[in-house]
Amino acid sequence: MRQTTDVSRRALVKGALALGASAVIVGGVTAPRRALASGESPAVDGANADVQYGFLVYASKCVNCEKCVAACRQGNGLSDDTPDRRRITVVSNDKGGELSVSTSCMHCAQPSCERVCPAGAISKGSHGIVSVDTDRCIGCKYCYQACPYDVPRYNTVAMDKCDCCLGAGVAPGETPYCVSACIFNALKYGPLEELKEQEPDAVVIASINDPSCLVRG
Amino acid sequence: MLQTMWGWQPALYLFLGGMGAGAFIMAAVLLLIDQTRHRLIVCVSMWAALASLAAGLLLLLSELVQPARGLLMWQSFSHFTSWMTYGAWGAFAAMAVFAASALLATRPVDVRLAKKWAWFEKRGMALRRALAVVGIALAAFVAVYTGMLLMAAENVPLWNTPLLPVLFSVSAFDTGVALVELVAVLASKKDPLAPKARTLMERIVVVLVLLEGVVMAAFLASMLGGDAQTAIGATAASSASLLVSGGLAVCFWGMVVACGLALPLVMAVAGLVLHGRAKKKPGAGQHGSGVLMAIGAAGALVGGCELRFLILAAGVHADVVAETVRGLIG
Repeated sequence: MRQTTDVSRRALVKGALALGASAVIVGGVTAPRRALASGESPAVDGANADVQYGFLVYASKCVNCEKCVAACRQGNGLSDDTPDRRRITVVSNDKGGELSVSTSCMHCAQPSCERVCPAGAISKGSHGIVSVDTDRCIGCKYCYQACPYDVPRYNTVAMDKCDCCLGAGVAPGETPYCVSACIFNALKYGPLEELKEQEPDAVVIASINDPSCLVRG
Repeated sequence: MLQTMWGWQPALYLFLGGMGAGAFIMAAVLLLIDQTRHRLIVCVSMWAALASLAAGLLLLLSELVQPARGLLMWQSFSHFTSWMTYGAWGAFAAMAVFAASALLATRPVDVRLAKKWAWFEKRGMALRRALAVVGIALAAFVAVYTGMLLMAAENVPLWNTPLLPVLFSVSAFDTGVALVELVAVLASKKDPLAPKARTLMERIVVVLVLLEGVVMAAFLASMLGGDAQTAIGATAASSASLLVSGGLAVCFWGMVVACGLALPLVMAVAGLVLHGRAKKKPGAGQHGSGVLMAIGAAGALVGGCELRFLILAAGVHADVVAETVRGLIG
């Protein structure tokens, strides 16, 4: 009996060492999490290729007509099984005031989607545009869970989201379909710093991942 | 509002992956503490651990938009800033070690190898013990990973806490022990559990259930105490409220707490008391303790499975866009 007890102690120590080893693995894994993204160089195909482009949304001008949503669908030729790339958020306060904003992908400076994609199918390219390689995407939906703005959606092929109409042939830096379609001038697109200079009172939509979307009340 | 993007397949994977990992750890510990006994229990448990992990991974694969592409692991899991990449390779390595361990634990394979290979006859058990230790490390990683996967979602406050991997890891081990207990009860005629091993497992259950209860309480308290003025705090509180007092409360209290924690605790304590008496009166209460163990284990499995479904369902995003706009209109 005594001998069995000794063996089991030794075995338990071994087990504890094994658990410790796994903790080291876990620790090692967490370290490189944020290493990439910023180091990736975008393809240079214009003077502003390295400049982060983004959207400016005028909440006071948006009337929730959804023309931007429809123009995005049509311009990008989205299939019927593809959810909208743009969404209108309507917020009301106690005094009966109401504001609408049309948002899509925020083309974050440090995109969570890019970081969590196991296949490396998401990349931040020219003009800071975040896009997905549909030939590489496996459709695990992890990018939806990780995106702070729950932007990624899925069709029967892959993940789908705003790429500033790159896939529809609009050159990086040129005006996307949603902005062209807004007859109330509630949407603007351009270099983020220029948009900030134009509207110093506009606020960044949120703080997570440094998103490239400003809102003006 | 519930989280529906990840449905039942990932939920079941989180349970099966964790249970498989936990079962392997328990079976490996049984092998390491006494290599002369529990041959059948260790063998069946290791095969069950492998089957459980494999079934979980197949479920994950079926959830993909492109399942065939998911099989090209070197391409689809090549981006090492993602927890999913580490999880996929970790689970793959764990399956390889579980399979090797299960094969060597199978008597005909063991006998045949020992006959044909002199080295194995001499060193076979050392090899099995080494595989058990490596398997324990990999299984622990798989168990922790199931929580880390969810924790990486920064704007899902219910998931974005270090308490979640702790909760899932404890639950993984808890459900794994339950699976081995069920195997032991089913195999009790051919391979009865030694009193020492039985006591060890029951003690482990008591410790794990108490630990899981504490972690669960801390997890829920931290969520319910979220700052209601911020979108993240308010969403944390509403997610936790869904579990404790909202639409999911019946499942949470009934299946996770009563079935998954209270029942195994009561059964394990009752088992320990029965053993104490059996020591004084040898032979008494053996059958009864097997029934208690099976009931407790079944409860733990139901609770552990439901826990993954509920945590997934209640994990909704905080609406930070609406929060910003709300700030604009005051």
